[in-house]
Amino acid sequence: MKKLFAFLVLLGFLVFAFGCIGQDTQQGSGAAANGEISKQNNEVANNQPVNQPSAGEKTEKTAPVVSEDDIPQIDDIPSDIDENFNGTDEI
Amino acid sequence: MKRLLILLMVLVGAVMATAVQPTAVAVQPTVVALTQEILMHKYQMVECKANALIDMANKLNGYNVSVENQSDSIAALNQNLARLRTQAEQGNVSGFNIANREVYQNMRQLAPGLRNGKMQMQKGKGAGKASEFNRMYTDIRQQEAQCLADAAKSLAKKELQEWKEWQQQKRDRLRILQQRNITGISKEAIKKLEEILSKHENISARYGALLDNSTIEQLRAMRIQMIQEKNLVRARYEIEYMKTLLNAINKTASEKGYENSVQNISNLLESANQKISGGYDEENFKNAWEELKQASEQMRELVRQMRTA
Repeated sequence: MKKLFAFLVLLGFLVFAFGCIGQDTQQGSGAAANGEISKQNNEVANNQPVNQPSAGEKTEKTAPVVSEDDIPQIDDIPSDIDENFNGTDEI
Repeated sequence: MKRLLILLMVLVGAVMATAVQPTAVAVQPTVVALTQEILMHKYQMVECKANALIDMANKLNGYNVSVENQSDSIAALNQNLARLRTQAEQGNVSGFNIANREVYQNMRQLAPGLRNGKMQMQKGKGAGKASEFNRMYTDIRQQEAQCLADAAKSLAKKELQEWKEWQQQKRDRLRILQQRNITGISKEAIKKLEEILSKHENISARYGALLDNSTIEQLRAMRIQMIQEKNLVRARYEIEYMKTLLNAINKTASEKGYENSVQNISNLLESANQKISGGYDEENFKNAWEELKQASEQMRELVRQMRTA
């Protein structure tokens, strides 16, 4: 009975630990991949910027007020350069 | 009892940790999915044209009329169409643009042979089959037109959705920037950005009206022009936005000895601005957009360096 109980405690702990690790990993990679967009949504939801400098950073005189996440991501735009070829109209 | 309580708490903790995960990544898939959908509709438009050309080549062969470069061109066309579809499914815009260019090149290569074959048929080489050929040719063109009309409408709807999401996202971000009262970001700068966003919103409204009230021919005729207008406004917005941020970090950057970096970024933004100032030109726009990307990356790197310096 004691062994069964110990096994259950261990199992519970392992599930918990892996659950936490999984969450951290997803949030970490998600934040990196989401970049500007997820930050923006978080900011909008909270009505405040996520990347506000921390208290320590605020007191540091040399820290820039603009953070890396303020810089826009410039994504590729689908090209329409060749769409002036009109299929059988050209035949 | 105490042990049981601990066990229960651990299990509840585990379940909660697992349950929270999906919300963390809920936003990005929507954006990626929208890009994929737009690319898939663009792919469908290309496929409509390619299928019509391939169909026509096969029909000409049926009348014993050979089409110059047919097998090579069609093989390359099919190969690049498959590539294009893969890029669309993956939502890879730059890969899609490259494959798109190749597909159009293949179609252009096929066109002279088809034109020649059509002329041969209409001059009677098909042994009195000219009228039969013309009926068949009309059918192919009608199918192509219907296919293009359906794809163009779906594409325009998705594009409009993306335009609205883009402008909303920028509005939200600008509002937050304004609320932070960052030194070096003036009210005038914010106002200028708002004005550019209004122009984008105006273009979206016009595109929406076009989608609701126009024929498919009118939509197709106007679409490219409106996309170009939208692209120019977006480039102007990004330039102005980055200029505003650069202005805000300029003083600190100079104090820390990053004058050259600031100057390089400023030059890139100015150069991009010059390239789009004369209106829309595909190559100029493409180059300006590349400079914007570089400016964005360099500015991010500068802020990172300043933070750790």
